[in-house]
Amino acid sequence: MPDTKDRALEETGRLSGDVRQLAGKLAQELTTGHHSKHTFHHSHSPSHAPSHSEEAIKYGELIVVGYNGHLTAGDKGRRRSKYILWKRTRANGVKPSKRHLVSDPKSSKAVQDSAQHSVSYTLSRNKAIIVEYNQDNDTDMFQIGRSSEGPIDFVVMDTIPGFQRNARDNVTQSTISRFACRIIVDRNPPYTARIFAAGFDSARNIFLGEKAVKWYSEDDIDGLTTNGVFVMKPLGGFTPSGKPSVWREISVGGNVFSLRESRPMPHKSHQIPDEDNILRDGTLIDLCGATLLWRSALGLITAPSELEFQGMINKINAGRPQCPVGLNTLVLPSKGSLNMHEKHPYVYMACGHVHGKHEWGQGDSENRTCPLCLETGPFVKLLMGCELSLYVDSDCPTFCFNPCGHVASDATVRYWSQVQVPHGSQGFHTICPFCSTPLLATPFIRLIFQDNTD
Amino acid sequence: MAGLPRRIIKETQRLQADPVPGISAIPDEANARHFKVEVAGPVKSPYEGGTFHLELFLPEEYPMSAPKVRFMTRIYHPNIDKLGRICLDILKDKWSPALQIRTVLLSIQALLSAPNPDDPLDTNVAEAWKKDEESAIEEARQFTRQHAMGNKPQQ
Repeated sequence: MPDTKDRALEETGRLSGDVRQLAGKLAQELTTGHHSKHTFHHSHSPSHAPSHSEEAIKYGELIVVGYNGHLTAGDKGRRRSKYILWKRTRANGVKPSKRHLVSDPKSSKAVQDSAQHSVSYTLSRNKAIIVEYNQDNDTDMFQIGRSSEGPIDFVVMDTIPGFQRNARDNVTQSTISRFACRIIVDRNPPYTARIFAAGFDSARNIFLGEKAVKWYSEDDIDGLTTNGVFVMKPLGGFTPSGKPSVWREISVGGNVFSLRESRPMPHKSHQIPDEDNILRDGTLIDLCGATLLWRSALGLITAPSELEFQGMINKINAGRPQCPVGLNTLVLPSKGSLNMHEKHPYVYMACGHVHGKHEWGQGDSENRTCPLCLETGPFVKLLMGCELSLYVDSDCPTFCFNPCGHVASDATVRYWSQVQVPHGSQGFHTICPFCSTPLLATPFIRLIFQDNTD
Repeated sequence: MAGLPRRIIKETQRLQADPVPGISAIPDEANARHFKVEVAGPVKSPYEGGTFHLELFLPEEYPMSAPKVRFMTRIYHPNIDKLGRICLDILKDKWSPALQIRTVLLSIQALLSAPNPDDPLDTNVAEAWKKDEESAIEEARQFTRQHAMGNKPQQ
């Protein structure tokens, strides 16, 4: 994989020495102060975000892919569609220290001491390695998982794709681990964030049972969680020119591996020693059931602000696009606009012509003929892509995903339609980042508005 | 009669504010779905110099179905019969609601410029046209002088 290697070298080079300091300063400037540009993100920040502090430093955001600004059932407490990582008032990171070989891990002091973080690797029924983790004043820790217990900062449940949400929202069997992963962020610039598989439970322990994949040698003990934590760092970053790269698995110790043949396979794959577990802007994290996008505070400056986005929608609406059949003006919905019925735009997916709702050209149940070009295809209600952190640029939203009809910018639909997201135990597919609906062979279409000629 | 759909009102307004050159379409005072239409014979066609009267009616389902259009003025044309019926695909199976009164009338104007004897409505005219185009064109000119010049609009 020469590409990946070059990339890794390039990254290290770029962030070394003076450059590293400079990037740090820049990040600090961008993440402190008045946040004039990203007011929207702040209004949605969870309750435990530092309030109104001029010193508040935002490390980045984790966005659950497949939601459009809020969960289907609404955002509640630590369960939401997006989590903002703020610098903690006090460091709560941990780092590995001493290692013990014990015969009964449950009764060992490190495990029983609820103030002491530890990871137990069960090697056999009466043999386990316990790694003690000590407080690290230089890092903050954020934990993600399905559990609603206290140590989990960001509660994540299995994502149900948009087209299946009409059914019941209940997931009968979750594949997301209760303590799925943890992210450790340097408290000092450039606020490097690293991801590790598994999270500490309420007793501050991580247990890797007898069946979990793990390995032990003189100076190395590490393991994988059952369904694994996968990451994918796009080459060229989260930008219009970014390209997806290979998915990797991250171990409990933060090492990088190629994927197992199938997700819960009980063998580790090859270690990729020249790749790291550092989250970069646009890194995707897959927890087997939900995929998260990491946006660094620095990277988010390229995303449109709520105000800019509204301005772009206003610009399109100012052209007074018309329905070629009803000859009525169509209005792209913006936040808070009520259901506008006849003004709501629809698209013919085969050609991209935008119309109002009407009944002409219905052939079989799915497909309809476009009155303008007589192409036949589905007729779909347009929905705005409102989660702006999923945009790779600040261009006008004049494209939409197929089949769901979520509208976003050209570069954004192109970017996501290349990204393969894990699906099931060994499959991958491309999805709309706003609703998780799998994309079709023609993954997106350019919208053609008929501007008012009156 | 039920209220006039917004689309018909907009089309009518635009036809009057921004008429198509060589074409006028005026709605009937008593029935806004009924239009009196005048099409000038296109230059360099056998219909040049003539003024052709047509009636256009927008059925209840319009624009989901095509307007009904008929020549009131007699015309010698392979795609228009003695009763003034017009053979034009967009008035039949190729109708689309994205078409409008103005586009229909423009198509009819174009049909006068380019008769198509291979898809005839009046077979006699079409045969004459194919056999001896020059004589057919002369016949069309004759018809135009006889029926489409100095003719008064029907009431």
